Amino acid sequence: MNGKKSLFAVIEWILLGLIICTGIYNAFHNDNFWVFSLPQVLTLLVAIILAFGAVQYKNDERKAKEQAEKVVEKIQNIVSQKAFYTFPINGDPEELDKLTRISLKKISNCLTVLKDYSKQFGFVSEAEYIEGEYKKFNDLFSENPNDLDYLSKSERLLKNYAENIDSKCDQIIAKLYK
Amino acid sequence: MILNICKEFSDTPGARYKNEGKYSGEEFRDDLLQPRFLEAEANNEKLVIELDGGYGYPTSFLEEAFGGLARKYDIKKVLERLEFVSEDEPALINEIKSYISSARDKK
Repeated sequence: MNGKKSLFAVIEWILLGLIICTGIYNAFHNDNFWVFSLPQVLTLLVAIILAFGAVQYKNDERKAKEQAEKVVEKIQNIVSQKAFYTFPINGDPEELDKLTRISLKKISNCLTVLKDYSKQFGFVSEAEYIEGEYKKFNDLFSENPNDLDYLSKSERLLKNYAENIDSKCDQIIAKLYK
Repeated sequence: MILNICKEFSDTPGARYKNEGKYSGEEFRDDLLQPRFLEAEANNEKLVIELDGGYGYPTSFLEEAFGGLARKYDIKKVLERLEFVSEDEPALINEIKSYISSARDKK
């Protein structure tokens, strides 16, 4: 991969060098080189503006995809941790409650951003699915947020929701760079 | 008129009903939300609910508090009277409004 990048860089520099040399040669040996008509200037300007716009658009789109990927990875980092869906029976109920709420809040905020990206990059159904699984997790946790006995017995179900979210996140990333 | 849930009630609101533990949605509605709502109604002013500062809200708490209020006092009236502020978790506002809008009599 690095070899390929280096080869492209070399080719780019060679082409740039050729263009500059051709320009310099024409500047000194072609009397008409500096003679421009207005239509020629306008055509050149329009071409430059369009080319610049196209490159910027591609750049902006790539940056937006990278941001969307970061948001998806933030969600995955939370749901893939065992501490997110595990509630040890001898744990501190208040502490575990607070930590889970913080995680749920973070996912909720990530989902708000992700839904905007989903419209832009065509993964609306995947984002809605994640929201649905998140809501199921949240509802189950919310019924008894301080009851470790209840939550530890619900671990399998909570883990299932978390893993569904994680898998769907993988699908979104795959779709982003298709 | 402002009601800050975190400062005036709890930064870790509980479950749905009083018999399920402290700081339930039912307790919040009966002791704080309902009286303030009625006061706002009497003064013809908005009741601003500030949701920031806490650790997060169980869905059952929100539904019982705000959905419960709408079941008692009419959906449209509650939606018109209440305003929400939530910088920590913006999605909460639409979530609460959906609980209010879809409030039904519980049997």
